[in-house]
Amino acid sequence: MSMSIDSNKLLLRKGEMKMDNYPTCAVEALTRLETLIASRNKQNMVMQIISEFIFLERTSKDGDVRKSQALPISQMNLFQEFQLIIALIEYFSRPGRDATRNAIFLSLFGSHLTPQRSKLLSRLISTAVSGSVAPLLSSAGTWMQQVGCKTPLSLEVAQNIVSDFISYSRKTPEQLKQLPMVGPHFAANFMVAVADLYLNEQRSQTLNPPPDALLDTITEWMAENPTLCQASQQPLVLPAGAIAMPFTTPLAGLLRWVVLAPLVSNRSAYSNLHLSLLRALQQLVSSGESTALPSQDLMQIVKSLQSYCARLAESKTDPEADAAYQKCMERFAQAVQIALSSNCITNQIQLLCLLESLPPHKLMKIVIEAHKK
Amino acid sequence: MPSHEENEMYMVKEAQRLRKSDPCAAMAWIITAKTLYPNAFNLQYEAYLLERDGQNYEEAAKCFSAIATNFQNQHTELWQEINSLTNALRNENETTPEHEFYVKMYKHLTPEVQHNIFMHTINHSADNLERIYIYILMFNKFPKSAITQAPRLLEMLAEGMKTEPDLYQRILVEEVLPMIQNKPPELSPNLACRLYTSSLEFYLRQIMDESDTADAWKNIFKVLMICGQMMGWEPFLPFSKHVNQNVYWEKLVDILSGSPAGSSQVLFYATTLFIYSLHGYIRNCKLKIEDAEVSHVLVEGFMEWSPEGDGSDVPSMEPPKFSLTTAISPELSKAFLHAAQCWQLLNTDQFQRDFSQLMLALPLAPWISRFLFDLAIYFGHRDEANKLLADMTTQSSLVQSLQILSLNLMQGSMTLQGFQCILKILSELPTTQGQLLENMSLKGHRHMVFLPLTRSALVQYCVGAIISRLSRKVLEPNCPDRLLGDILVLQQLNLLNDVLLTQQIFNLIKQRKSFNLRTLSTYIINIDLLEELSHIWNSQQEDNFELTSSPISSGTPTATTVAGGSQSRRIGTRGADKGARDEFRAITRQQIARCNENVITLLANFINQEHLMLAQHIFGISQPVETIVIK
Repeated sequence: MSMSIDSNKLLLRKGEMKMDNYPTCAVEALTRLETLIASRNKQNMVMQIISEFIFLERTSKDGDVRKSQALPISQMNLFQEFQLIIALIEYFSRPGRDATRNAIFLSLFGSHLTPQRSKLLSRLISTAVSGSVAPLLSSAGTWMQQVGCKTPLSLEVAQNIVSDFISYSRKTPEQLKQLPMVGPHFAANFMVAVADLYLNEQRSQTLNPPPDALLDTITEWMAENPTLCQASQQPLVLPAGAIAMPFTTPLAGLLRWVVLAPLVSNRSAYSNLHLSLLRALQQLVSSGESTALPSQDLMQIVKSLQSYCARLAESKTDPEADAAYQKCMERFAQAVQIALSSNCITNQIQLLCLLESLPPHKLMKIVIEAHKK
Repeated sequence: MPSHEENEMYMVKEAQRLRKSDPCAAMAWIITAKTLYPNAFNLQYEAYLLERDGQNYEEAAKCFSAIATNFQNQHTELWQEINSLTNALRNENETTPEHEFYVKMYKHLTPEVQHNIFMHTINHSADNLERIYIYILMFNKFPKSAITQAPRLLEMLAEGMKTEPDLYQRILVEEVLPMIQNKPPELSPNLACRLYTSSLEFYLRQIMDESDTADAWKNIFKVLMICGQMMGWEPFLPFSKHVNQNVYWEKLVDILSGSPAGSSQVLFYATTLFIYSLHGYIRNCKLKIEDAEVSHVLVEGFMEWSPEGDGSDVPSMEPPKFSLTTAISPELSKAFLHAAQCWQLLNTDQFQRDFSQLMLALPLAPWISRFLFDLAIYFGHRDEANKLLADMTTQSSLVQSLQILSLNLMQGSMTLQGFQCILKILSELPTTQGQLLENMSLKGHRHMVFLPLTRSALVQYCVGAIISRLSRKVLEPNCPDRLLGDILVLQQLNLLNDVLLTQQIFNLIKQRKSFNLRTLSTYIINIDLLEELSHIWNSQQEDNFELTSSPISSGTPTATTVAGGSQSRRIGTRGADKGARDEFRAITRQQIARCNENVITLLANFINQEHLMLAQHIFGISQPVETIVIK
């Protein structure tokens, strides 16, 4: 019933939004969306308009993009993609309510995207980073949290930023360095994602260290913005009725970096980053947040260390004589101690037992003793 | 199981091992260790060192605050740092990187910690001086703390003054008093008085060293004001060079009338005023004359001769006057009288004990002994003056001789010692010529003279002293010619001074048929005298008047001979031969030609050469010459 009315209205509007005057129709569509998006029962129409007038996707017969099994195919050419990115940047730069902007961003880029859309998203965010477009980055940060920072989509975005600003850039651009100031929430979520990309045995057989420039950038961010890790805890501004996804802090991922780094790298930046992490952990005391270091993340570190020790055992090396392992344990023990004293570790006993199973390290022993009581 | 201390040390060592090579890792150890052993000094201190070495003022300040708050007592390392910090603050102008670090870190400490550091240093420093400097530093940084803490600081200063008065007094007046002058703390009367005495002592030493002393007096009055405020005294007047001392005295009298007997405010105000006047007196006693600094000495003035007697035998209860001899004498006498007034007030029963204690504390001995001597001769207390004279060792022998002579004159007689003093003075005459003084002899009343130590004034005083002795004998029957003649010689210095005496002598000459003026051709050069003599000679021709000008032949020693010597001259009107007349004229002419000779030098020579004769006149006996020795 309501569908037919919607369709009628939509038909009426189609006359005004001509696809041949792109990107004007996309800009027009964005403005229309602002009013439609507030009512929950008009989601289909919203999706349709987005698909048709913004991404220029071929509409399926029943008019419901979400229900269609076949992915819509965009007809946009490179130039139109470029025009759309400009239009979106301009749109998000305009003054407006955060909730509306976030809602539109989430509608434009949901959790399941066509390759075209996700590619466009990555480009859009890279452009926003290089243009320091704070409102867009803010919405992007919200989007990242809602879809999950470690989901392939988020990782793709993160990977793309690394490619654009790190891998293909001789010198780290100022805009990236300034990111924590321009979009702290996005920067924090970006760190969560990027941390997952490197020194992660779940992703690759070998431990891949992050590019030096990326490590330096993140080290600098952490040193200069001690509260950056808490940025992801900021409450999200979402449309009415939407449920905020739980946040993740970059602490666990970055801790994995610094703890495992001695196995593959001796860059001094890790030492610096490690200290910043310890300080960040200490500051969590006041916030009383107990999920800053989820135990499964710590288990993952333990696992990596165990497998390293297993390799040591194969080569008949005593872990206590292995400088790299000792350094790993030194950092790990320090972080665990501070996290425990800040009360931001769940399943403490389980963790302590697991840690005890690792080849010994003096500080780790002290820490375990201190907390077993 | 290893003890906490062992674990703690292990972590500190790890941090120390990494401090240079990897400060971040070192810090990671420290912050980890701090969560394990929050009360371990070594860890906190290591953390501080790390931040200090990294020149992180703010973080270092945080660590330092934590240490200073939690570990106040035990640790020498902390003390070294606190010392370095306070040292740096005390010398903020120095710009070594180390100094700079401490100064910058200090700024990041909370005011509470800043204040605690000072208080703590003060409470734990064994060195009195060190503590005082920290107090001063603290008052500079926390002016409010002065209100409560100043009494302690002042007590410490008072304590320090017992051993090193100069240093602690300097700190008191130059550093501490300026800080508390706007809001003086409450002190025990005893301490406030002691501090004032100390400041006074300091400034008096300054005054004794320097020529420009107005600033010192301004400061003394200021300190007096501050101490007065602390004691709740009625405020005294501020210092001004131009304020007449009478104004101060009147204010003092005013305060005195409203104070209970022996009140300390009167004691201190009067003492200050006494020293101020005394200083004015002592300072003005030295005056520039002909580019030389000439001291003035208070001496007894002479009585004018009168036929009825010299009047000195009539004791007068009135205090003597000061005669107006030089331009400075009014000021000198005023300062002297003010000092005397204060002195008398302070020596009344109500103040005497406290005042004499104060005097013992102050470095005034040379001034006081001089003042007391002058005071004794002023009041005519001979015995006391004699006693005090013996105590004054710092005087030059010239001054001493003059004072003995003056005492002689006060006693109304001349002793042999007094006469020797005259000879001594003449042998030590200064080069500064100076001028003859007015009003050296006054009629009927005792008076005092501020005698400048110039040639003229000294000779004038010696001449006056001799005349005043000899003139008593003029009316004695059978007064010898030579005595009258010698008086005439001496009177040439200031003929108008004792006109009556001169007239009396000429009357006597005229009365005698024969008069031997043996000094005519040697010492008489005054035109008025020569005229008068020739008038007598001319007018007495009919009476067979005989004027001789020859050394006395009978029994008188003639070691000092008249120029032209052994030849005896008699110029008589008897017979009135032309030769004699011509000779008298020739002598007169010769003497008139000498009238421009320096009469001061002439008389000094006269006294020197004729001292045996003069002694004989004065003492009336034929003295064995050998006993007159110029010492």
